[in-house]
Amino acid sequence: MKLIFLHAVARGFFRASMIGLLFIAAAVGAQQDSLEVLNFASEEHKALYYRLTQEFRCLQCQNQNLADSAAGLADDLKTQVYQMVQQGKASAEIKSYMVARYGDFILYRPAFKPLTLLLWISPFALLACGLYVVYRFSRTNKTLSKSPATAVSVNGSDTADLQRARDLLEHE
Amino acid sequence: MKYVLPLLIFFGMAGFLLVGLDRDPALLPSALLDKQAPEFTTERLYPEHVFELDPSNSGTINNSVLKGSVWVLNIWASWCVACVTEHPLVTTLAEQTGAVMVGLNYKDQDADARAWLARFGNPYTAVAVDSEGQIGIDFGVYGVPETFIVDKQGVIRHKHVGPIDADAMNNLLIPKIKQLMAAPA
Repeated sequence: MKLIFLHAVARGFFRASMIGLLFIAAAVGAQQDSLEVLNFASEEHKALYYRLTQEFRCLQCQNQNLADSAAGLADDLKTQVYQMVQQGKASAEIKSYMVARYGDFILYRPAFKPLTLLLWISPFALLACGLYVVYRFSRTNKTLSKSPATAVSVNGSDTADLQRARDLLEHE
Repeated sequence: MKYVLPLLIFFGMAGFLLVGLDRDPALLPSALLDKQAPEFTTERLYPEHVFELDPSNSGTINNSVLKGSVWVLNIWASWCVACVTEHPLVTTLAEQTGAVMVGLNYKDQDADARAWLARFGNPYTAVAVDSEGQIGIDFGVYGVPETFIVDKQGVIRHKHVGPIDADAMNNLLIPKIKQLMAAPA
């Protein structure tokens, strides 16, 4: 009995360590691309490269920017950006190069032009609509709450409704 | 009116969402539609074969020689699983339309690519080699396989992202190619 138990425990440890090794291997494998060292001609070039690779979307893993993505296409595009930066190209030129090939979607901050106007304006427009609805709703509430006051006597003298009520009650 | 307005807003939103159900948000429309296909010059996978549109040429392909013909650019690779699925349809497309088929072997090894075509068949008039993916970037390729249809003036008229399915082939691609082939050069 004890031997079977020990055997099971040993198997468990073996499996756990294999899984652990698998994770380590995967982590090392995933890091291989990002460990590549890039040489830049100047600090401005380096800053431009890092800024651009964070502003371009990875089109394979569409929720990541190029800097974070390990996808093959991301590597290619990063190399392309690096080469253009080294050639001294300006940010606007590199952006238009990418947009010409992949469309506005590659920019995390799409350009402010007629086509993307709806995209930019709509959150604010919806907020304005919402605020207007709240305003109208609160005004309706205020007018409703005023009506019970008309039944109560004003300036000490009874209103017609109140007089009728008193008569009915007294003639019970 | 105050009761109708929220209802109208609801139906408006429901309409948008209903249309959106059929659409794949990850699909990008091509930025190159109705624009000139980017020019490329690269090696061919089979330099020993004569490229009929440029018979004097030794082993490269430049797509400007394709002007005057309707051509289909099919991006594929031997490591791409979906390409195996679409390949019989690419072959059917070639047979049924007679268009010039240019395969773009994307980020692949020549030996693997040749072995793949030997195994699955070669429907291409010529296979261009894009080992670094640079031609792919110029065409706005973001996945494999993709297929472009280019007209006689060299203008991209259609892009199909992902493997070609029978439905797309019969209802979109073949009619489009035939329509472009009927147009004057």
